[in-house]
Amino acid sequence: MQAQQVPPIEEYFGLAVGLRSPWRPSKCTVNEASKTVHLWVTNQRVTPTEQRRRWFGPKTVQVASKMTNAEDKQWRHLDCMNYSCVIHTSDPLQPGDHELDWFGPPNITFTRCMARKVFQLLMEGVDMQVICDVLRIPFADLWKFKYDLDNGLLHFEYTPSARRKAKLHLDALPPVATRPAALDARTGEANSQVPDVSDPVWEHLINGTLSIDIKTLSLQLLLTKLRQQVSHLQSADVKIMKLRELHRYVERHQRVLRHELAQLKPS
Amino acid sequence: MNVLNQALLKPHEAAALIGSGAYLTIAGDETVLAGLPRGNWIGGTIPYFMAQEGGRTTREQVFVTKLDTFGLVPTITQYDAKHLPKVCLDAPDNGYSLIILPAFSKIHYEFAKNAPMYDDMYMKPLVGWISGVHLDDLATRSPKTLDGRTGELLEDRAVVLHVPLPDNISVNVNIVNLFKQGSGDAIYFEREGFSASTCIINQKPVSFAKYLKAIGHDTRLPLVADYNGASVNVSFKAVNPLDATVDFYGPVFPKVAYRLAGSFHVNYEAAFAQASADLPEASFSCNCILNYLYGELEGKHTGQVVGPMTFGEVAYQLLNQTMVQMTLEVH
Repeated sequence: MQAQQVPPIEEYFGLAVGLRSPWRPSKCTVNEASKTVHLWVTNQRVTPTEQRRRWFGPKTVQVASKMTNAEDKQWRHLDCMNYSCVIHTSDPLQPGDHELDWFGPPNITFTRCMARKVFQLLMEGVDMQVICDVLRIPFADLWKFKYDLDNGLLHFEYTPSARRKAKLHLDALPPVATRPAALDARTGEANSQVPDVSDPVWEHLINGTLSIDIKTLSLQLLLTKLRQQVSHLQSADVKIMKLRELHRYVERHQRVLRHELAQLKPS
Repeated sequence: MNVLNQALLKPHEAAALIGSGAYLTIAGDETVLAGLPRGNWIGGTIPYFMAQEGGRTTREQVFVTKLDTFGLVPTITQYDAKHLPKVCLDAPDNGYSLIILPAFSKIHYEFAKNAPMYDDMYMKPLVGWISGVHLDDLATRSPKTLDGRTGELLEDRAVVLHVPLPDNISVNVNIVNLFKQGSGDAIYFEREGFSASTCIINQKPVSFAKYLKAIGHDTRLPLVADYNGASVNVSFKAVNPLDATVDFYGPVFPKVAYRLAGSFHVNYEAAFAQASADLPEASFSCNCILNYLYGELEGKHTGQVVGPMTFGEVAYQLLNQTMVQMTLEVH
Protein backbone atom coordinates (compact mmCIF):
# COMPACT_ATOMS: atom_id res chain seq x y z
CA MET A 1 0.00 0.00 0.00
CA GLN A 2 1.43 3.29 -1.08
CA ALA A 3 2.07 5.73 1.78
CA GLN A 4 -0.10 8.84 1.54
CA GLN A 5 1.99 11.77 0.37
CA VAL A 6 2.03 14.65 2.83
CA PRO A 7 2.54 17.97 1.13
CA PRO A 8 5.64 19.84 2.28
CA ILE A 9 4.94 22.39 4.99
CA GLU A 10 5.60 25.29 2.62
CA GLU A 11 2.58 24.21 0.58
CA TYR A 12 0.35 24.90 3.56
CA PHE A 13 1.94 28.31 4.03
CA GLY A 14 1.48 28.96 0.33
CA LEU A 15 -2.22 28.18 0.68
CA ALA A 16 -2.50 30.47 3.69
CA VAL A 17 -0.77 33.30 1.80
CA GLY A 18 -3.16 32.78 -1.09
CA LEU A 19 -0.57 32.08 -3.76
CA ARG A 20 -1.94 31.62 -7.22
CA SER A 21 -0.38 29.86 -10.18
CA PRO A 22 2.23 30.23 -11.57
CA TRP A 23 3.49 31.31 -8.15
CA ARG A 24 4.23 28.55 -5.69
CA PRO A 25 6.12 28.15 -2.47
CA SER A 26 9.62 26.74 -2.86
CA LYS A 27 10.98 26.76 0.67
CA CYS A 28 10.20 27.83 4.17
CA THR A 29 12.12 28.18 7.38
CA VAL A 30 10.88 28.89 10.86
CA ASN A 31 13.14 30.88 13.15
CA GLU A 32 12.09 30.14 16.69
CA ALA A 33 14.41 32.70 18.21
CA SER A 34 12.97 35.63 16.28
CA LYS A 35 9.53 33.97 15.96
CA THR A 36 9.52 34.48 12.22
CA VAL A 37 8.31 32.32 9.36
CA HIS A 38 10.21 32.89 6.13
CA LEU A 39 8.52 31.71 2.95
CA TRP A 40 10.20 31.72 -0.44
CA VAL A 41 8.00 31.85 -3.52
CA THR A 42 8.85 31.39 -7.13
CA ASN A 43 7.19 31.12 -10.50
CA GLN A 44 9.91 28.84 -11.83
CA ARG A 45 8.91 25.30 -12.81
CA VAL A 46 9.38 22.49 -10.34
CA THR A 47 12.91 21.08 -10.61
CA PRO A 48 13.59 17.33 -10.73
CA THR A 49 15.16 17.61 -7.28
CA GLU A 50 11.95 19.04 -5.92
CA GLN A 51 9.90 16.37 -7.68
CA ARG A 52 11.98 13.68 -6.00
CA ARG A 53 11.57 15.41 -2.67
CA ARG A 54 7.83 15.42 -2.97
CA TRP A 55 7.76 11.75 -4.03
CA PHE A 56 9.70 10.59 -0.99
CA GLY A 57 7.92 12.77 1.47
CA PRO A 58 8.35 16.05 3.23
CA LYS A 59 11.99 16.77 3.75
CA THR A 60 13.53 20.15 3.59
CA VAL A 61 16.03 20.00 0.77
CA GLN A 62 17.90 23.02 -0.43
CA VAL A 63 16.57 23.65 -3.92
CA ALA A 64 19.24 25.22 -6.08
CA SER A 65 17.95 28.42 -7.55
CA LYS A 66 18.50 28.98 -11.23
CA MET A 67 19.36 32.53 -10.42
CA THR A 68 22.20 31.87 -8.03
CA ASN A 69 23.22 35.49 -7.76
CA ALA A 70 19.73 36.93 -7.86
CA GLU A 71 18.81 39.47 -5.22
CA ASP A 72 16.60 38.12 -2.46
CA LYS A 73 13.67 40.50 -2.20
CA GLN A 74 11.53 40.32 0.88
CA TRP A 75 8.41 41.87 2.34
CA ARG A 76 6.76 41.65 5.73
CA HIS A 77 3.39 39.91 5.42
CA LEU A 78 0.48 39.45 7.82
CA ASP A 79 1.39 37.47 10.91
CA CYS A 80 1.12 33.71 11.03
CA MET A 81 -0.47 33.21 14.46
CA ASN A 82 2.22 34.26 16.94
CA TYR A 83 4.91 34.42 14.30
CA SER A 84 5.84 37.24 11.97
CA CYS A 85 5.84 36.23 8.33
CA VAL A 86 8.27 37.35 5.66
CA ILE A 87 7.80 36.53 1.97
CA HIS A 88 10.92 36.19 -0.15
CA THR A 89 11.59 35.77 -3.82
CA SER A 90 14.70 35.76 -5.95
CA ASP A 91 12.71 35.82 -9.17
CA PRO A 92 12.91 38.92 -11.33
CA LEU A 93 9.61 40.74 -10.98
CA GLN A 94 7.58 42.49 -13.62
CA PRO A 95 5.80 45.74 -12.69
CA GLY A 96 2.49 43.90 -12.47
CA ASP A 97 3.91 41.41 -9.97
CA HIS A 98 4.14 44.19 -7.39
CA GLU A 99 0.34 44.35 -7.41
CA LEU A 100 0.06 40.78 -6.12
CA ASP A 101 -1.00 40.37 -2.50
CA TRP A 102 2.15 38.47 -1.54
CA PHE A 103 4.59 41.03 -2.92
CA GLY A 104 4.89 44.68 -2.13
CA PRO A 105 5.50 47.94 -4.00
CA PRO A 106 9.21 48.30 -4.92
CA ASN A 107 10.35 50.59 -2.11
CA ILE A 108 7.94 49.48 0.60
CA THR A 109 8.79 46.77 3.11
CA PHE A 110 5.24 45.37 3.43
CA THR A 111 3.37 43.06 1.11
CA ARG A 112 0.38 44.63 -0.58
CA CYS A 113 -1.89 42.63 1.67
CA MET A 114 -0.18 43.98 4.78
CA ALA A 115 -0.07 47.48 3.28
CA ARG A 116 -3.85 47.46 2.81
CA LYS A 117 -4.27 46.66 6.48
CA VAL A 118 -1.91 49.45 7.50
CA PHE A 119 -3.72 51.86 5.16
CA GLN A 120 -7.07 50.92 6.68
CA LEU A 121 -5.75 51.63 10.16
CA LEU A 122 -4.34 54.99 9.09
CA MET A 123 -7.65 55.95 7.47
CA GLU A 124 -9.50 54.96 10.63
CA GLY A 125 -7.32 57.45 12.51
CA VAL A 126 -5.24 54.97 14.48
CA ASP A 127 -2.10 56.56 15.91
CA MET A 128 1.06 55.61 14.02
CA GLN A 129 2.88 54.45 17.14
CA VAL A 130 -0.08 52.24 18.03
CA ILE A 131 0.01 50.70 14.55
CA CYS A 132 3.73 49.99 15.00
CA ASP A 133 3.20 48.46 18.43
CA VAL A 134 0.23 46.28 17.46
CA LEU A 135 1.57 45.09 14.10
CA ARG A 136 5.18 44.99 15.32
CA ILE A 137 6.57 46.98 12.45
CA PRO A 138 9.43 49.50 12.63
CA PHE A 139 8.36 53.12 12.82
CA ALA A 140 10.77 54.06 9.99
CA ASP A 141 9.01 51.60 7.65
CA LEU A 142 5.59 52.95 8.53
CA TRP A 143 6.75 56.54 8.14
CA LYS A 144 8.15 55.79 4.64
CA PHE A 145 4.86 54.12 3.71
CA LYS A 146 2.82 57.11 4.86
CA TYR A 147 5.25 59.47 3.09
CA ASP A 148 4.62 57.69 -0.22
CA LEU A 149 0.88 57.66 0.47
CA ASP A 150 0.84 61.40 1.27
CA ASN A 151 2.74 62.18 -1.92
CA GLY A 152 0.48 60.18 -4.19
CA LEU A 153 3.04 57.45 -4.87
CA LEU A 154 0.80 54.69 -3.49
CA HIS A 155 -2.91 54.08 -4.05
CA PHE A 156 -5.33 52.01 -2.05
CA GLU A 157 -9.09 51.85 -1.80
CA TYR A 158 -10.63 52.65 1.55
CA THR A 159 -13.68 50.89 2.95
CA PRO A 160 -14.72 52.66 6.16
CA SER A 161 -15.45 50.48 9.16
CA ALA A 162 -19.02 50.36 10.49
CA ARG A 163 -18.02 52.70 13.29
CA ARG A 164 -16.43 55.16 10.89
CA LYS A 165 -19.48 55.00 8.62
CA ALA A 166 -21.68 55.82 11.60
CA LYS A 167 -19.43 58.73 12.52
CA LEU A 168 -19.41 60.02 8.93
CA HIS A 169 -23.20 59.87 8.99
CA LEU A 170 -23.25 61.92 12.20
CA ASP A 171 -20.73 64.38 10.78
CA ALA A 172 -22.98 64.93 7.78
CA LEU A 173 -25.87 65.99 10.01
CA PRO A 174 -26.30 69.67 10.89
CA PRO A 175 -23.95 70.45 13.81
CA VAL A 176 -25.55 70.45 17.24
CA ALA A 177 -24.12 71.40 20.63
CA THR A 178 -22.67 68.12 21.87
CA ARG A 179 -20.42 69.54 24.56
CA PRO A 180 -21.12 71.76 27.54
CA ALA A 181 -20.76 75.43 26.80
CA ALA A 182 -18.42 75.86 29.78
CA LEU A 183 -14.87 76.87 28.90
CA ASP A 184 -12.42 74.06 28.33
CA ALA A 185 -8.96 74.88 29.70
CA ARG A 186 -7.35 73.27 26.70
CA THR A 187 -9.37 74.77 23.88
CA GLY A 188 -10.13 78.01 25.63
CA GLU A 189 -13.54 78.36 24.05
CA ALA A 190 -16.55 76.31 23.18
CA ASN A 191 -15.83 74.23 20.09
CA SER A 192 -18.66 75.67 18.03
CA GLN A 193 -16.23 78.24 16.52
CA VAL A 194 -14.61 75.57 14.39
CA PRO A 195 -16.68 74.49 11.36
CA ASP A 196 -17.48 70.81 11.38
CA VAL A 197 -15.10 68.54 9.49
CA SER A 198 -17.78 67.88 6.86
CA ASP A 199 -18.16 71.61 6.10
CA PRO A 200 -17.02 72.45 2.53
CA VAL A 201 -14.94 75.34 3.88
CA TRP A 202 -12.11 72.88 4.60
CA GLU A 203 -11.99 71.68 1.03
CA HIS A 204 -12.09 75.25 -0.23
CA LEU A 205 -9.25 76.16 2.12
CA ILE A 206 -7.11 73.18 1.21
CA ASN A 207 -7.52 73.49 -2.54
CA GLY A 208 -6.90 77.22 -2.46
CA THR A 209 -10.31 78.44 -3.63
CA LEU A 210 -10.70 80.08 -0.22
CA SER A 211 -7.87 82.42 0.71
CA ILE A 212 -7.58 83.81 4.24
CA ASP A 213 -5.05 85.98 6.02
CA ILE A 214 -2.95 83.72 8.23
CA LYS A 215 -0.76 85.06 11.01
CA THR A 216 0.07 81.79 12.77
CA LEU A 217 3.31 80.29 11.47
CA SER A 218 2.37 76.64 11.97
CA LEU A 219 -0.85 77.07 10.00
CA GLN A 220 1.00 78.89 7.21
CA LEU A 221 3.44 76.00 6.92
CA LEU A 222 0.88 73.22 7.37
CA LEU A 223 -1.49 74.64 4.78
CA THR A 224 1.35 75.01 2.29
CA LYS A 225 2.26 71.36 2.77
CA LEU A 226 -1.31 70.10 2.52
CA ARG A 227 -2.07 72.16 -0.59
CA GLN A 228 1.03 70.77 -2.29
CA GLN A 229 0.08 67.21 -1.35
CA VAL A 230 -3.57 67.51 -2.36
CA SER A 231 -2.67 68.98 -5.73
CA HIS A 232 -0.80 65.73 -6.58
CA LEU A 233 -3.18 63.23 -5.05
CA GLN A 234 -5.43 60.99 -7.10
CA SER A 235 -7.01 59.15 -4.21
CA ALA A 236 -10.14 60.82 -2.84
CA ASP A 237 -9.70 58.85 0.38
CA VAL A 238 -6.25 60.25 1.06
CA LYS A 239 -7.57 63.74 0.30
CA ILE A 240 -10.17 63.19 3.01
CA MET A 241 -7.34 62.23 5.35
CA LYS A 242 -5.67 65.57 4.59
CA LEU A 243 -8.90 67.47 5.26
CA ARG A 244 -9.22 65.73 8.59
CA GLU A 245 -5.61 66.60 9.41
CA LEU A 246 -6.31 70.28 8.77
CA HIS A 247 -9.50 70.19 10.82
CA ARG A 248 -7.73 68.40 13.68
CA TYR A 249 -5.00 71.04 13.70
CA VAL A 250 -7.47 73.94 13.80
CA GLU A 251 -9.57 72.28 16.47
CA ARG A 252 -6.51 71.66 18.60
CA HIS A 253 -5.14 75.19 18.29
CA GLN A 254 -8.35 77.20 18.07
CA ARG A 255 -7.52 79.33 21.12
CA VAL A 256 -4.59 80.91 19.24
CA LEU A 257 -6.35 81.00 15.85
CA ARG A 258 -9.03 83.60 16.55
CA HIS A 259 -7.88 85.79 13.66
CA GLU A 260 -8.01 82.89 11.19
CA LEU A 261 -11.22 81.34 12.53
CA ALA A 262 -13.04 84.63 12.19
CA GLN A 263 -12.53 84.30 8.42
CA LEU A 264 -13.98 80.79 8.21
CA LYS A 265 -17.72 81.08 7.96
CA PRO A 266 -19.56 77.75 8.20
CA SER A 267 -21.59 77.19 5.04
CA MET B 1 8.96 84.26 32.04
CA ASN B 2 11.39 87.10 31.42
CA VAL B 3 14.52 87.87 29.55
CA LEU B 4 16.65 86.74 32.51
CA ASN B 5 15.74 83.17 31.51
CA GLN B 6 18.33 83.54 28.75
CA ALA B 7 21.85 84.83 29.34
CA LEU B 8 25.52 84.54 28.38
CA LEU B 9 27.22 83.12 31.46
CA LYS B 10 30.59 82.08 32.71
CA PRO B 11 31.02 78.29 32.98
CA HIS B 12 30.84 78.26 36.78
CA GLU B 13 27.54 80.19 36.64
CA ALA B 14 26.16 77.67 34.18
CA ALA B 15 27.41 74.85 36.40
CA ALA B 16 25.52 76.32 39.35
CA LEU B 17 22.34 76.42 37.32
CA ILE B 18 22.88 72.83 36.25
CA GLY B 19 23.45 71.88 39.87
CA SER B 20 20.13 73.41 40.83
CA GLY B 21 18.38 70.77 38.74
CA ALA B 22 16.96 73.26 36.26
CA TYR B 23 16.17 72.19 32.69
CA LEU B 24 18.46 74.06 30.33
CA THR B 25 19.70 74.37 26.78
CA ILE B 26 23.31 75.48 26.55
CA ALA B 27 25.26 76.79 23.59
CA GLY B 28 29.01 77.20 23.63
CA ASP B 29 32.40 76.11 22.46
CA GLU B 30 32.96 72.35 22.56
CA THR B 31 35.73 72.48 25.16
CA VAL B 32 33.68 74.53 27.59
CA LEU B 33 30.55 72.42 27.10
CA ALA B 34 32.51 69.24 27.72
CA GLY B 35 33.66 70.64 31.07
CA LEU B 36 30.18 71.31 32.41
CA PRO B 37 28.68 68.94 34.99
CA ARG B 38 25.99 66.37 34.18
CA GLY B 39 22.42 67.43 34.56
CA ASN B 40 19.09 68.16 32.92
CA TRP B 41 20.38 69.91 29.85
CA ILE B 42 21.04 69.60 26.16
CA GLY B 43 23.79 71.46 24.37
CA GLY B 44 25.19 72.41 21.02
CA THR B 45 28.49 73.85 19.87
CA ILE B 46 28.63 77.46 18.67
CA PRO B 47 30.72 80.46 19.75
CA TYR B 48 28.55 83.26 18.34
CA PHE B 49 25.89 84.89 20.48
CA MET B 50 23.54 87.81 20.80
CA ALA B 51 23.84 88.65 24.48
CA GLN B 52 22.28 91.37 26.61
CA GLU B 53 25.39 93.44 25.99
CA GLY B 54 25.25 92.88 22.22
CA GLY B 55 26.75 90.48 19.72
CA ARG B 56 29.66 88.45 21.17
CA THR B 57 32.05 85.88 19.78
CA THR B 58 33.55 83.91 22.63
CA ARG B 59 34.95 80.47 23.36
CA GLU B 60 34.99 81.19 27.09
CA GLN B 61 31.33 81.67 27.92
CA VAL B 62 28.13 79.74 27.28
CA PHE B 63 24.63 80.88 26.42
CA VAL B 64 22.09 79.33 28.75
CA THR B 65 18.33 79.17 28.27
CA LYS B 66 16.45 78.12 31.39
CA LEU B 67 13.10 76.54 30.67
CA ASP B 68 10.09 77.04 32.93
CA THR B 69 8.62 73.64 33.75
CA PHE B 70 5.57 74.65 35.85
CA GLY B 71 6.03 71.65 38.10
CA LEU B 72 5.98 69.16 35.23
CA VAL B 73 8.91 66.99 34.18
CA PRO B 74 10.51 67.38 30.73
CA THR B 75 12.29 64.48 29.06
CA ILE B 76 15.57 64.45 27.16
CA THR B 77 15.88 62.17 24.13
CA GLN B 78 18.62 61.48 21.60
CA TYR B 79 17.62 60.72 18.01
CA ASP B 80 19.55 59.22 15.15
CA ALA B 81 18.55 59.82 11.54
CA LYS B 82 16.43 56.68 11.44
CA HIS B 83 14.29 57.57 14.45
CA LEU B 84 14.09 61.33 14.02
CA PRO B 85 10.80 61.15 12.05
CA LYS B 86 8.99 60.30 15.29
CA VAL B 87 10.22 63.37 17.14
CA CYS B 88 6.80 65.05 17.01
CA LEU B 89 4.99 61.86 17.97
CA ASP B 90 7.15 61.75 21.11
CA ALA B 91 6.32 65.37 21.91
CA PRO B 92 3.92 66.09 24.75
CA ASP B 93 0.28 66.52 23.95
CA ASN B 94 0.47 70.09 25.29
CA GLY B 95 3.91 71.63 25.36
CA TYR B 96 6.82 72.00 23.00
CA SER B 97 10.04 70.34 21.94
CA LEU B 98 13.41 72.00 21.68
CA ILE B 99 15.87 70.37 19.29
CA ILE B 100 19.55 70.83 18.51
CA LEU B 101 21.12 69.14 15.48
CA PRO B 102 24.78 69.11 14.41
CA ALA B 103 25.45 70.97 11.15
CA PHE B 104 26.64 69.16 8.03
CA SER B 105 25.71 65.77 9.45
CA LYS B 106 23.49 63.08 7.99
CA ILE B 107 20.82 63.86 10.56
CA HIS B 108 20.93 67.57 9.69
CA TYR B 109 20.25 66.75 6.04
CA GLU B 110 17.57 64.21 6.95
CA PHE B 111 15.75 66.82 9.05
CA ALA B 112 16.17 69.54 6.44
CA LYS B 113 14.64 67.44 3.67
CA ASN B 114 11.97 65.47 5.50
CA ALA B 115 10.84 67.40 8.57
CA PRO B 116 7.74 68.85 6.87
CA MET B 117 6.54 65.27 6.36
CA TYR B 118 7.06 64.07 9.93
CA ASP B 119 3.90 62.85 11.59
CA ASP B 120 2.34 65.52 13.84
CA MET B 121 4.66 68.15 12.37
CA TYR B 122 3.05 71.61 12.80
CA MET B 123 0.58 70.01 15.19
CA LYS B 124 3.05 70.34 18.08
CA PRO B 125 5.53 73.18 18.50
CA LEU B 126 9.13 72.35 17.61
CA VAL B 127 11.89 74.96 17.88
CA GLY B 128 15.64 74.78 18.01
CA TRP B 129 18.86 75.31 16.15
CA ILE B 130 21.73 73.80 14.23
CA SER B 131 25.02 73.65 16.08
CA GLY B 132 28.21 74.86 14.43
CA VAL B 133 31.81 75.83 15.05
CA HIS B 134 33.98 78.91 15.01
CA LEU B 135 34.56 79.77 11.34
CA ASP B 136 38.32 79.48 11.94
CA ASP B 137 37.76 75.83 12.95
CA LEU B 138 35.69 74.70 9.97
CA ALA B 139 38.51 72.51 8.66
CA THR B 140 39.52 71.05 12.01
CA ARG B 141 36.41 70.64 14.13
CA SER B 142 32.93 69.26 13.56
CA PRO B 143 29.71 70.69 14.95
CA LYS B 144 28.33 68.65 17.83
CA THR B 145 25.40 68.24 20.16
CA LEU B 146 25.64 67.22 23.78
CA ASP B 147 23.42 65.14 26.04
CA GLY B 148 23.81 66.78 29.42
CA ARG B 149 22.64 63.68 31.27
CA THR B 150 25.72 61.74 30.20
CA GLY B 151 28.12 64.35 28.87
CA GLU B 152 28.25 62.59 25.48
CA LEU B 153 29.35 64.77 22.58
CA LEU B 154 27.46 63.64 19.47
CA GLU B 155 28.39 64.25 15.85
CA ASP B 156 25.38 62.67 14.20
CA ARG B 157 22.56 62.73 16.71
CA ALA B 158 19.94 65.28 17.61
CA VAL B 159 19.22 66.04 21.23
CA VAL B 160 15.70 67.06 22.16
CA LEU B 161 14.03 68.40 25.28
CA HIS B 162 10.34 67.49 25.26
CA VAL B 163 8.67 70.00 27.62
CA PRO B 164 5.08 69.40 28.78
CA LEU B 165 3.00 72.38 29.84
CA PRO B 166 -0.20 72.77 31.87
CA ASP B 167 -3.34 72.84 29.76
CA ASN B 168 -3.90 76.56 30.33
CA ILE B 169 -0.61 77.51 28.62
CA SER B 170 -0.15 77.54 24.86
CA VAL B 171 2.97 78.03 22.77
CA ASN B 172 3.51 80.66 20.08
CA VAL B 173 6.34 80.29 17.58
CA ASN B 174 7.25 83.41 15.62
CA ILE B 175 9.92 84.17 13.08
CA VAL B 176 11.51 87.43 12.06
CA ASN B 177 12.73 87.28 8.48
CA LEU B 178 14.19 90.50 7.14
CA PHE B 179 13.97 89.22 3.58
CA LYS B 180 10.97 89.21 1.28
CA GLN B 181 10.58 87.92 -2.23
CA GLY B 182 11.90 90.43 -4.73
CA SER B 183 10.22 91.35 -7.98
CA GLY B 184 12.47 89.15 -10.12
CA ASP B 185 11.84 85.86 -11.88
CA ALA B 186 10.05 82.95 -10.27
CA ILE B 187 12.64 80.17 -9.99
CA TYR B 188 11.78 76.49 -9.79
CA PHE B 189 13.98 73.48 -9.12
CA GLU B 190 13.25 70.06 -10.53
CA ARG B 191 14.92 68.14 -7.71
CA GLU B 192 15.16 68.69 -3.99
CA GLY B 193 18.59 69.07 -2.53
CA PHE B 194 21.29 71.21 -1.03
CA SER B 195 22.79 71.84 -4.44
CA ALA B 196 21.49 72.72 -7.88
CA SER B 197 22.96 73.14 -11.33
CA THR B 198 19.88 73.94 -13.38
CA CYS B 199 16.64 75.66 -12.53
CA ILE B 200 13.50 76.53 -14.45
CA ILE B 201 12.88 80.20 -15.24
CA ASN B 202 10.06 81.25 -17.56
CA GLN B 203 9.48 77.56 -18.24
CA LYS B 204 13.01 77.09 -19.59
CA PRO B 205 15.91 75.25 -17.94
CA VAL B 206 18.86 77.52 -17.27
CA SER B 207 22.16 77.19 -15.46
CA PHE B 208 21.46 78.69 -12.04
CA ALA B 209 25.10 79.68 -11.47
CA LYS B 210 25.25 81.48 -14.82
CA TYR B 211 21.91 83.15 -14.17
CA LEU B 212 23.12 84.53 -10.83
CA LYS B 213 26.28 85.85 -12.46
CA ALA B 214 24.39 87.38 -15.38
CA ILE B 215 22.11 89.39 -13.10
CA GLY B 216 24.96 90.25 -10.72
CA HIS B 217 23.10 88.84 -7.73
CA ASP B 218 24.46 89.53 -4.24
CA THR B 219 24.44 86.05 -2.68
CA ARG B 220 24.01 87.52 0.77
CA LEU B 221 20.39 87.83 -0.32
CA PRO B 222 18.75 84.40 -0.11
CA LEU B 223 16.16 82.62 -2.19
CA VAL B 224 12.74 83.20 -0.61
CA ALA B 225 9.60 81.09 -0.87
CA ASP B 226 6.15 82.27 0.17
CA TYR B 227 4.43 79.76 2.46
CA ASN B 228 0.97 81.30 2.71
CA GLY B 229 2.38 84.56 3.95
CA ALA B 230 5.43 83.17 5.76
CA SER B 231 8.69 84.02 3.98
CA VAL B 232 11.04 81.05 4.14
CA ASN B 233 14.67 81.49 3.04
CA VAL B 234 17.20 79.23 1.42
CA SER B 235 20.62 80.80 1.92
CA PHE B 236 23.49 80.61 -0.55
CA LYS B 237 26.56 78.72 0.59
CA ALA B 238 28.68 78.80 -2.57
CA VAL B 239 28.50 79.41 -6.29
CA ASN B 240 30.98 77.07 -7.95
CA PRO B 241 32.16 78.43 -11.31
CA LEU B 242 34.12 75.29 -12.25
CA ASP B 243 31.16 72.92 -12.35
CA ALA B 244 28.47 75.63 -12.43
CA THR B 245 26.70 74.33 -9.34
CA VAL B 246 25.19 76.34 -6.53
CA ASP B 247 25.26 75.07 -2.94
CA PHE B 248 22.77 76.08 -0.27
CA TYR B 249 22.54 75.99 3.52
CA GLY B 250 19.11 74.42 3.27
CA PRO B 251 17.38 72.30 0.66
CA VAL B 252 15.37 73.61 -2.24
CA PHE B 253 12.20 71.68 -3.01
CA PRO B 254 10.52 71.03 -6.37
CA LYS B 255 7.22 72.70 -7.26
CA VAL B 256 7.97 75.67 -4.97
CA ALA B 257 8.19 79.12 -6.51
CA TYR B 258 11.34 80.82 -5.23
CA ARG B 259 12.35 84.40 -5.89
CA LEU B 260 15.58 86.07 -4.98
CA ALA B 261 15.19 88.35 -1.98
CA GLY B 262 14.75 92.01 -2.69
CA SER B 263 17.61 94.39 -1.99
CA PHE B 264 18.15 95.22 1.62
CA HIS B 265 19.13 98.82 2.39
CA VAL B 266 18.26 99.11 6.07
CA ASN B 267 20.93 98.07 8.54
CA TYR B 268 20.38 94.77 10.29
CA GLU B 269 20.46 96.18 13.80
CA ALA B 270 17.70 98.68 13.10
CA ALA B 271 15.68 96.18 11.08
CA PHE B 272 15.70 93.54 13.79
CA ALA B 273 14.92 96.11 16.45
CA GLN B 274 11.91 97.30 14.51
CA ALA B 275 10.68 93.83 13.56
CA SER B 276 10.94 92.45 17.07
CA ALA B 277 9.64 95.53 18.88
CA ASP B 278 6.14 94.16 19.37
CA LEU B 279 7.15 90.61 20.24
CA PRO B 280 6.60 89.51 23.85
CA GLU B 281 9.52 88.31 25.94
CA ALA B 282 10.75 84.99 24.66
CA SER B 283 11.23 81.71 26.45
CA PHE B 284 13.63 80.73 23.69
CA SER B 285 15.16 82.56 20.75
CA CYS B 286 17.98 82.16 18.27
CA ASN B 287 19.23 83.80 15.10
CA CYS B 288 21.44 82.96 12.15
CA ILE B 289 25.22 83.21 11.88
CA LEU B 290 24.73 84.71 8.41
CA ASN B 291 22.75 87.60 9.90
CA TYR B 292 25.54 88.01 12.47
CA LEU B 293 28.22 88.16 9.76
CA TYR B 294 26.42 90.03 6.99
CA GLY B 295 24.85 92.43 9.47
CA GLU B 296 28.16 92.93 11.34
CA LEU B 297 26.25 92.42 14.55
CA GLU B 298 29.26 92.03 16.82
CA GLY B 299 28.78 94.61 19.54
CA LYS B 300 25.33 95.49 18.22
CA HIS B 301 21.82 94.45 19.30
CA THR B 302 18.79 92.86 17.68
CA GLY B 303 16.19 94.66 19.73
CA GLN B 304 15.52 92.86 23.00
CA VAL B 305 16.05 89.44 21.47
CA VAL B 306 19.04 87.37 22.57
CA GLY B 307 20.27 83.87 21.84
CA PRO B 308 22.87 81.81 20.01
CA MET B 309 23.71 82.79 16.42
CA THR B 310 23.53 79.43 14.74
CA PHE B 311 24.20 77.44 11.59
CA GLY B 312 20.48 77.06 10.97
CA GLU B 313 17.27 77.65 12.88
CA VAL B 314 14.30 75.43 13.58
CA ALA B 315 10.73 76.70 13.71
CA TYR B 316 9.01 73.42 12.91
CA GLN B 317 11.25 73.00 9.87
CA LEU B 318 14.73 74.17 8.99
CA LEU B 319 15.13 77.88 8.31
CA ASN B 320 18.02 80.04 7.15
CA GLN B 321 18.88 83.66 7.92
CA THR B 322 15.90 83.91 10.27
CA MET B 323 15.32 84.83 13.88
CA VAL B 324 13.16 82.33 15.76
CA GLN B 325 11.29 83.16 18.91
CA MET B 326 9.09 81.02 21.15
CA THR B 327 6.76 82.55 23.72
CA LEU B 328 4.25 81.07 26.15
CA GLU B 329 0.74 82.38 26.57
CA VAL B 330 -1.31 81.83 29.71
CA HIS B 331 -5.07 81.52 29.22
